[in-house]
Amino acid sequence: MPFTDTSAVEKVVYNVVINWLADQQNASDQEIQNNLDWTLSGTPPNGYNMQPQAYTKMCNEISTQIQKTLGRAVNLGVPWRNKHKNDSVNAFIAAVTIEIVNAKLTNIGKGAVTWSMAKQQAHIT
Amino acid sequence: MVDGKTASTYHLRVALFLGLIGVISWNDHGLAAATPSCKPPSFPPQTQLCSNGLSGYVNKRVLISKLLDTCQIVATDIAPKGDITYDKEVSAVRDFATFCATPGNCSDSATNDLRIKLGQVEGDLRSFAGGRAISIGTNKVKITYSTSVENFLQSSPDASDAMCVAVNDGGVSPPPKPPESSNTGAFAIRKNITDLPVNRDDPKFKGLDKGSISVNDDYVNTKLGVNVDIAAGYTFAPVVLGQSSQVSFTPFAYYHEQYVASKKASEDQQIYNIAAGFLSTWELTNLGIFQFAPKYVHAIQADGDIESANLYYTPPITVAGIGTAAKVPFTNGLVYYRFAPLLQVTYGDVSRASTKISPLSQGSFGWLGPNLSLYLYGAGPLEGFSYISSFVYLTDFAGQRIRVARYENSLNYSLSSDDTWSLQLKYVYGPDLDTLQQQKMLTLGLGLKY
Repeated sequence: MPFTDTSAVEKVVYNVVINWLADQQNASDQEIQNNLDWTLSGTPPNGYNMQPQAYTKMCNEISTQIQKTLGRAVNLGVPWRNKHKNDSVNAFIAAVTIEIVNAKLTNIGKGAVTWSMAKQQAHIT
Repeated sequence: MVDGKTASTYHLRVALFLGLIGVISWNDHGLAAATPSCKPPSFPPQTQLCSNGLSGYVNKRVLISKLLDTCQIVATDIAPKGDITYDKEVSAVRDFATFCATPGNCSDSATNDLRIKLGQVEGDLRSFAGGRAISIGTNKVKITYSTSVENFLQSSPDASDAMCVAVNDGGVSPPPKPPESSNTGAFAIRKNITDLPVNRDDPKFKGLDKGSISVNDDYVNTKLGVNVDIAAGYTFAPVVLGQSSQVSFTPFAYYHEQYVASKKASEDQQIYNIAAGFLSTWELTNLGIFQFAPKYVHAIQADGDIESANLYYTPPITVAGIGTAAKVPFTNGLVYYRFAPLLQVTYGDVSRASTKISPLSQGSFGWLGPNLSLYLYGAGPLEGFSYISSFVYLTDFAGQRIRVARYENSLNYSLSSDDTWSLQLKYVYGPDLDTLQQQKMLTLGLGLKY
């Protein structure tokens, strides 16, 4: 069942990515937000020059964090990562959002949906 | 040795060449521009509805403004005192009655018409937020993922909570593809074979060291020097291994020339090496990057042959300053750095030796050690400048007893916006890493990457 409220998803992704980059760069959130057009792999002053290992770490850690927050399985596999490793931060956030909106629920998420639907049904009957 | 008449003609040609480089540099960059101290947020510019033309994030300020224009609502209709703001526009659209009941809002003469027009704007916004395409000027745009108009208007005007998609007459077109990453086959020209797999469309391209062609004229000793250092290869699309790892393959060739004319012809320094090989780059999650490069080197002038297998290992260090570029402290964001440590292991065989490539003699050799590079990038008024410094120290572990220490430093200034060409001041001290022929020179020339 896909998400319909993408703005909520995007806000979560936005916060997770901004927080990760701020921690990585020892910078403030505002500083990262001021540079949303920087590319992940480009060189300064227009990019973070992120090396492959750091990029892999970022994808793994943000996936874990987003999965915990939204209860959805987030799989950013190698082909997806190769496709988006040169994105700007803005474009990367959008791409992750699209990936999540089309993602499947984790078991916890499925349980939550089932419980909610059962509650609704009980209320109706 | 260069005679007086030939020297003056030569000097004139060098001066014209450097002058041409100066003109190219001036035309491309002009005067260095200062960066404003208050850099605006990186959200869609004020006059553009969508951040990337017909796609990207919606600029809500522009959307509201254009919808109001479409319904012929002028600023003084909403704010008669001329103090129109985005918040007032939104408040007027969301709740006309309450907004216009507030003293100072809504011009008296336009109230009835205004109520109808604002209702139309609210309807258009509801349709847009709900997923319907609407026309703005000559463009049609559509939110990719629907939301409620309340959510859309309540969040910050600079929030990126809605995106645009261009709408064709025949239907909805998908968001434009992001630039292709370096996961397709591509021809490349670099200085180092380990940089060949990075595609020129990859933003990382700008930070790579360049192949170089340079000429040096030492006026004190009347020496002419020519240095060429260039590698070319073709990288095939990477093969995925498991969940997070991949491997790519790059056949390559490179040419290294160093000619320094001495006062005596017999003391001229001449290095002409040509090499070919095959590079495989293995990116293994949590283990690092392993690059294997078997190669064959032929020393043309020295008439020697060397075959070797080389391993370059990049450890999985991800901290800022190594995994990503970081600001150099106390430079106020004018300079960024990245440190790149590698471990190099080489095992090879000199199948045909020559006295001109001493101290290598016929037989096997093996050495290993650190290969350390420091990259500096300029920002603001220093944008376009970069500095690369590398130090290699190899000690023997098999075969011939040899120690190698080589320094190489280059200061570069981009001559083109895509960093294909640059002006390069380079200093090299230490032996050539293939044939151990000594190099010591300071050159000014062109750097090239493709």
